[in-house]
Amino acid sequence: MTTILRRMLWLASIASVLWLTPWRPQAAVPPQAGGNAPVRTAPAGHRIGATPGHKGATDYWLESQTRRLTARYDDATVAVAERGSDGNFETRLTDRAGSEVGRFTVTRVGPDGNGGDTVLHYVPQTGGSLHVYGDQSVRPTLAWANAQAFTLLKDRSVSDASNLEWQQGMIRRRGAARLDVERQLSELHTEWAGGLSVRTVRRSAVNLTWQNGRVLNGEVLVSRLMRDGVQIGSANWFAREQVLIWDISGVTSGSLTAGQLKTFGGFPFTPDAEWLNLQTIAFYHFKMAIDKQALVAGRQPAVSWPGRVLAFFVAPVLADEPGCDGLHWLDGTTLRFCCDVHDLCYAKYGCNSTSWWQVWSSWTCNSCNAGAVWCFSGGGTGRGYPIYM
Amino acid sequence: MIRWPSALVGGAAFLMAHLVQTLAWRTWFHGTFEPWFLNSGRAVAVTAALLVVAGAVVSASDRRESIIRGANVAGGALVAMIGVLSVIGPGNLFPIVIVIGAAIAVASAGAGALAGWGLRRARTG
Repeated sequence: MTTILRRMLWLASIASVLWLTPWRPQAAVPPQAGGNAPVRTAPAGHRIGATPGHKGATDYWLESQTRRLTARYDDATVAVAERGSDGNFETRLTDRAGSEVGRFTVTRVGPDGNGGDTVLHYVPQTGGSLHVYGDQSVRPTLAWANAQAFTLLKDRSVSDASNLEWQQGMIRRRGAARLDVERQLSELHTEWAGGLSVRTVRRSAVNLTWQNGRVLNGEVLVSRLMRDGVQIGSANWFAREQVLIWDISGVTSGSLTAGQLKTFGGFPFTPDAEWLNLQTIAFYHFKMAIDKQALVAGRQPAVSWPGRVLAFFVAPVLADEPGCDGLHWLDGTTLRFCCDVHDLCYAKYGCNSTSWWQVWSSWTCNSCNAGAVWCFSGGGTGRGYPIYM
Repeated sequence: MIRWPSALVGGAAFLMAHLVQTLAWRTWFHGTFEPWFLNSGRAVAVTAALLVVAGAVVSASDRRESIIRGANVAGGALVAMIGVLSVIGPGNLFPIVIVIGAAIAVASAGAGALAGWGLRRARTG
């Protein structure tokens, strides 16, 4: 009984990435100088969110929980980035034989995570190191550090900063040809907090039959979610077909296609291995967080995780409000779960408030509504009517 | 069974509550979304209190009709509630909103009617 509403919920988690994300470094807003700046009023009754396609706070938070990120490239180079307890991180590069070929460190020297407040230090085994400031527009992450270290390794002779330039968020040898690091990635292993880890490998699908006889082909990113060394779930991203399929036993399973997101113009970013790893973790982590929140709902702030997701993802398109429309008095209760899942269900199937009485128009919208009613009747515990989503 | 005066009192009580909420939405009710009694805990309390008073007033005048008049107060409030909701715009959950609003109206007006009935009984002996 619980599975369908859970499925819906997980779509909310998905959005945690749809909303959060492209994995390319984004421009950071410079902090305001102190002084007598005017206090800006935020409009009531309107959703205020991040910018579509740009990383948001949730994304950076998810990433910040990654302890170690191991990237294996097609040429057998391995980059292992580890985050220290001080927030700094270091990438160690090894070659096919396992010998270290370089180290890249990111050291914070400012109060926040902006790239301009970091110092980058690259020491290749071949000698000649690079010691430069980060760029204001690049907010370093472990994945970025790995990609940057790999890029510097491939560019060689990078000790002279005057021969270098920033190219699309990466330090490159001046005039160097474009290097698509993501395409050279064969495996990415994310070791997260709480014993969670995800390993994604690049595979190829050949005539894989899916729903309604739909055939999936081409490149597929295959993720395995582990907890304390035991596999607890999986997720697959079919790049050509733009299909995400996931299954976390006892928690959630489902799928999402670009067609189902047509209201939003499809996936607002290009999914990659790092995204898939964090998304798979988010599926599991958010559910656990919500379960925990339900036990202490009275002490929780009004905005839930899926709510924060939906606040960005759904509201601007459907003129929806984050939380329980018309019942915001209940936003801080466990019933918030029902509202957010219902909002997400509506978003996925293009429903709106008229779908309640136009029962003949869409069975899926009716299912969303039935699920919400059932969820409310269950006190928001997630024990919902089995609606397939 | 319809008691128009009671229903009108119920509707008026709800509209009065909504008017107060609209005027003091940001200040007293700490409203974030649009003024609507189910969008704020304080607004729920004020609306319920007014409906309790309305239920008590209409039912205190005739002990034998207390429950019927109380029900009419709730009915009038519900009609006004639906009217206001349609004006401010029904959200994605509007049927559930109406059900919860109706439950509050019935409970409040019912409690008021019971109080009015008790008050009348205490007076007349």
